[in-house]
Amino acid sequence: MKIIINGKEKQLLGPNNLANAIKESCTDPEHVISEVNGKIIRSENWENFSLQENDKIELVTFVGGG
Amino acid sequence: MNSFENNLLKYLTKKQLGEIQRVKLGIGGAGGLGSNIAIMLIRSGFRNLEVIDKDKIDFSNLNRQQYFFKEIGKPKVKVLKKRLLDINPSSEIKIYQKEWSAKDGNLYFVDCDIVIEAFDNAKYKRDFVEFYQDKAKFVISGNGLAGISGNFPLCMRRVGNIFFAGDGKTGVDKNNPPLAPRVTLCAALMAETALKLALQD
Repeated sequence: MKIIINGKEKQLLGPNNLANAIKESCTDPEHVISEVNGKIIRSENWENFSLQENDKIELVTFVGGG
Repeated sequence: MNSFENNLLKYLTKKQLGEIQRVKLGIGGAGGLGSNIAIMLIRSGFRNLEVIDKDKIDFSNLNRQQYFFKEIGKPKVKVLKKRLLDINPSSEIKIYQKEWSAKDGNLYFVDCDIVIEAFDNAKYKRDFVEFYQDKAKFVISGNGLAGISGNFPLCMRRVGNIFFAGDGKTGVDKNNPPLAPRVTLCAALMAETALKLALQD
């Protein structure tokens, strides 16, 4: 299935849920905040959040320092 | 209005100052980002601010945080509150010397219009921003401010009502320490965003 992550097309290899899309895109899901089609999806809901073809996902990965 | 606030009217219109003063701010973290942001925002006319930070001042903080040699060992939030009141004695500063966690996140920043993430740990940052993004009108977060600017300049990225300041890449590590110029630059970007939002809102 094709989705758009941070403006770039990506083919999902595994299950069509947000948790998997993040796992396939980021090395450290614990540091990621995600938005799907304009709505922030909390990390506790990633597993149950089903993705559709062409969904637009924004991922921000936090790095340490403050 | 005290003399400090009266003199702010040399730089801001009465309407602008009124808009700034109506905004309630929450800041998570009183370190390199948080202490600098708080001072800039009090200087800009904000007067209602909550800060949470569990730490005491350490010598390793003095390279970038708004604390002094003689204050080592004191709780950051207490010293910061004093510093802010030294600028504007009419400010309302609420402090918590506690470790923030999502399970008691509802105890802090109730009714804050703008919540600012200024922690250093990446997991903390994520949990904090995720927690407040649907409670505050806006969240401002610092992300990627270590080292000296190379190929990745600091910028602002907006996702929904969250503003991320920083290069989004450079975390603190052996090769990229947190240094005053870039940390302060990031803090200034975040403070300016808060000011802009207060005046637009």
